[in-house]
Amino acid sequence: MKLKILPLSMRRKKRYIAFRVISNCDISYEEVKQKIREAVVEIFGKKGYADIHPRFIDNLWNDEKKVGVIRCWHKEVYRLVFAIGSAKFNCEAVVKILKVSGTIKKIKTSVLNKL
Amino acid sequence: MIAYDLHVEIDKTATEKTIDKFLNIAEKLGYSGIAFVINQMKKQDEKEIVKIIKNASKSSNLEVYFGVKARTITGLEKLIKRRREIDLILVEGGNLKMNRKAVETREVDILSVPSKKRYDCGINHVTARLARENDVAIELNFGEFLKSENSARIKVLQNHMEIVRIAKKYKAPVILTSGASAPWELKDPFVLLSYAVSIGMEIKESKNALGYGPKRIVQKNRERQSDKWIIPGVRVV
Repeated sequence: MKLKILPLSMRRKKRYIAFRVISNCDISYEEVKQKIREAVVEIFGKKGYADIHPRFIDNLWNDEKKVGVIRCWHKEVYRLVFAIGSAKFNCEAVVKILKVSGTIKKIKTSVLNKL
Repeated sequence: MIAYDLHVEIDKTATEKTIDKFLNIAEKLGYSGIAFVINQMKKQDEKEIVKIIKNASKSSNLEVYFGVKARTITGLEKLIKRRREIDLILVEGGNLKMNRKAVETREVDILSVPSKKRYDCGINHVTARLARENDVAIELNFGEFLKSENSARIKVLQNHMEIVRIAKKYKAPVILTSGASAPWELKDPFVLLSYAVSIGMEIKESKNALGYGPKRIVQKNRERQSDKWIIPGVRVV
């Protein structure tokens, strides 16, 4: 049996963070995901990871421009951005935060469509 | 968002290419200004580095400044004598005497890493009050957090939290810097802001520590470098 969807008022608010990886080398999406996850666990622990609830939106990753979108609960944006910034990649790379938004649609219109 | 990074470390070996790279990445990350900081060295070496920085910054839209970091009290006294030649004077903290001397001196702009290699944060109510009175900014260096590991990293976080708590209470100026020593160690301004928020600063305070605080320091020094300026509070009208 399928679980009934929660009513709108009971659903938690989310925030979508668009980011770009600026680097010299070719970084794969899998590496980016792994390093960010590791950074969150290292700084905030497993309980913190559960609180922040980071989820990568896989279909929005642009491999050419190295732009991706990650989702978290709306009160945890600062903690997640802090962890993203302190992620250590295998080669020289910096992460730039492009936009924080409440909907994927807005991220698409203001960031992804303008790349 | 206005953002300045007033602590990017370079050394004698820095070439025009590396400074160009720094500026290129800082521009991409959305900074308005950046300050290159060197440790105190011979005047001739210093002049050469200033020349390199000036040449490299011609092609950039960023505001570029040059700072010198004092490590000893005698070194600081020498720097104060030629205050007008230098954009920024930083003092490397860690030693209690050095921390105290830095916040007591009006000519100093930034007290860098007051908690370096210490178990406590290196700042107390007396130094925080002096910092406010003499307008010396206390630096929260993100690089210090990034470059440490395990228990040292925990200590850095604890010390930064304590500095934020004390500075809030005594309204001492705080600034956020990346403390980068390589171009790829520069951080996005939003990351620095998030770090400050995560360790206990309000959003408004952290925006101040990243934008308006550093901007004010830079403007104050520009005034100081003009011919009309005589001593703090006195200038030719």
